[in-house]
Amino acid sequence: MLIEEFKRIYSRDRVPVQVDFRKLVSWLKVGDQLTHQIHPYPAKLLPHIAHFFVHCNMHGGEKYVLDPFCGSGTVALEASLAGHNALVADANPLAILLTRVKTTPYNLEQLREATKRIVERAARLRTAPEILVVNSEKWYAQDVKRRLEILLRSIKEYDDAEIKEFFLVCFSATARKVSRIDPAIAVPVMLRTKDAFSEQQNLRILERLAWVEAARPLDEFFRICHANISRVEAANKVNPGRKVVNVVSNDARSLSSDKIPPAGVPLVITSPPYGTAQKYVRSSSLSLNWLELVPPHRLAEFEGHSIGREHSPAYRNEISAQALPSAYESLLVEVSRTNILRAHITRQYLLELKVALKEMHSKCAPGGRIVIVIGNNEVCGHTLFTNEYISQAMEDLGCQDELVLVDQIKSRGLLTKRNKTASVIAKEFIMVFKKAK
Amino acid sequence: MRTDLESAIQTLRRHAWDDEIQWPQVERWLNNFQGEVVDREDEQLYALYALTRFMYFGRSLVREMLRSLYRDHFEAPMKQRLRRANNNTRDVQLLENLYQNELHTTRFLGVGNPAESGAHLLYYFRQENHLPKNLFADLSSAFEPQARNGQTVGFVPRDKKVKRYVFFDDLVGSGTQVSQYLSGCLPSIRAEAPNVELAYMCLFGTKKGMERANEADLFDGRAQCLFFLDDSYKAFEKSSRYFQSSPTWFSLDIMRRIAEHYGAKLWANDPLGYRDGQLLLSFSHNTPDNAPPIFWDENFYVQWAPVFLRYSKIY
Ligand SMILES: C[S@@+](CC[C@H](N)C(=O)[O-])C[C@H]1O[C@@H](n2cnc3c(N)ncnc32)[C@H](O)[C@@H]1O
Repeated sequence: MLIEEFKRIYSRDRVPVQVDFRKLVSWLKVGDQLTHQIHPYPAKLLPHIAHFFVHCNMHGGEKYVLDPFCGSGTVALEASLAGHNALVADANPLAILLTRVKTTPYNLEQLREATKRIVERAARLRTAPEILVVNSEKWYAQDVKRRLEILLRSIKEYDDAEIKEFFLVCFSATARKVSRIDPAIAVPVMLRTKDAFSEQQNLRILERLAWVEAARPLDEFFRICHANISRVEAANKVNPGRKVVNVVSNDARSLSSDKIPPAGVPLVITSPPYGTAQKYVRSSSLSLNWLELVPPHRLAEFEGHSIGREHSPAYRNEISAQALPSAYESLLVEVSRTNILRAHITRQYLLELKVALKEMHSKCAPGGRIVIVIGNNEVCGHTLFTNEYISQAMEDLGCQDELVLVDQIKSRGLLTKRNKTASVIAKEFIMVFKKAK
Repeated sequence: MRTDLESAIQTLRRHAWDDEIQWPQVERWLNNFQGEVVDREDEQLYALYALTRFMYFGRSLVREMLRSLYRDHFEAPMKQRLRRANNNTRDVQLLENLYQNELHTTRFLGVGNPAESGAHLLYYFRQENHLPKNLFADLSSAFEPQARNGQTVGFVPRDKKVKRYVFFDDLVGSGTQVSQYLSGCLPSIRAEAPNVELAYMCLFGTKKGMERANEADLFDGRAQCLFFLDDSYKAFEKSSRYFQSSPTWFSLDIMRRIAEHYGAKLWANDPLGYRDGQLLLSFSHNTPDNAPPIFWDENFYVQWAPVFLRYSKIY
């Protein structure tokens, strides 16, 4: 097996083995379609990576895969398609919703019938409660917002809870599509023409803006439902008996024990949040508001609960004085010369990440594997070697690194360059640790 | 003058509109015009006049059109084709059998979301022409998604016996909708199943809409309509046919200003109808949004009483 070959090379050279997962898993024919694309989410994992490890068979017997930072559910979907029980956690309720919907083997006829009912009803409804969405006047024409509210009412009044979730996901994708938000940037930013762009590019932008102004949300919703039903159909073909995920927590730092098998899970695959770069909460703020998962005035507080946050709110100032390995301490000294806040946030990030690593280690079965996908980033011009930090932490926990791969991934470049202190992450490390027996 | 127009509307209501629009509804609608552009009385006069020019198709007319669409644009040409292919046979029974074979390998599909009038109309189309239910389908039940090289999603017909798909709609206006729904999948269906015929038929088609529907990535010359609406059906343009022989007091400019002013309150970006539609056209089952919103919009921010309904219940 390929993985054995990689392990052999790694144990010989002890340097990360260069791979290109897209080529490596080119036999993943329908794998990156299926339900992977039902909704945008920042910093999605390349499905190929999840697919590769889920099928590696490094773990025998009981088939459980845990992803404590599940995001949009890439690992969970690949695991459930492969016939495993996927266990997940994420601080972001949108992530949990997406993950559940992605892994549900819906009945297609029911979805088609429901689409019809919801759309027809939405067309006849005249009123709906207002939904508070942050900066909504900026993102929507008044009329478009109203039509979205009516559509949402029609969905909410649908009786079957599981099916309703599917349509909430389609709705959230619609609400983003018919907004004036730049679709190329993860966080909400107004789509605008720029002098720096080519004429053609600007023309496309103008076209899209004109389209948005006259967008018919109901039409767009119907199209998205139709596309997503096709995706479910494709996934059903791969594995009609796949199991829906089990949500084990909303915080990777404390996973519920009663939902995790007492013997531990044989395989953990996860991509923790990146240092200070990704803006998970901000980039899903529109969806969180629309689906009333988090109201606008609670967004900031909510962000306080996630690892790798953008801000460091005063009310979470219980910053521990715990020391980091010396290399990181000296890095933070450097950083704090230019930006104290960044240094502070980075320390918090590293400490919290360690707690999460400890927790996943404790939930891993003896002899099991923990696969961590992470990129490095820059903090105030200094590279934060998160991969080395993780290696060290895992070693401290008594884990041995079996394999480290490195992929020149550019697809996760959902970072904005506007923030000069965080630059693009060029490489992605895939580290495989083995928990001692 | 106003009484003349009022009695004209009363006559229209009773005879052309099948009593589907009640007089109090017309009065409530007139009350929307409160003199924000010109005098209140004048605005209401213009509104009334525009209403007399409106093309409203009641139930019985629509049903008649559906029969004619089927007969003249599907059945007759098909039978002619079959006759020619069979040495100009005069054997009626043979021809009928051949026709039934063709009919049963045809599927009719609606364009757009199921709340759109096209989808409703398809139902009446079936009833009026006594067609069996199994000849009707929708996109997702007719075509199966395909993925290749993990990238492109194409579509292939699920039922290999079907020879032709006829897409159906009541109106093609700007052509945006048909293109948004179908330009993504028709080329891939064509590539997968080159012998399958893809056609389109509708009651009304504007110049722009028909041009778009007949482009290569859509129906490639196989789109047709019962009534062709050329540019003279743009109500507020110089060439408008709606206001050709208008009374001397009438000014198209004022008419347009009124429609635009109130329209903008309802639908800021398209005050004269979707993609500047300017169509004075409505059916008893629906008013297309290509018509100016002052006629049909029921707004939530602005108090407004429409005279025609969009998305009324199935009758
Ligand atoms: C890199 S993303 C994971 C992306 C995912 N693999 C995918 O393919 O979509 C990291 C995730 O960690 C989540 N997260 C942040 N803090 C967390 C916490 N304390 N507990 C659990 N999840 C957290 C974020 O919401 C985000 O979804």
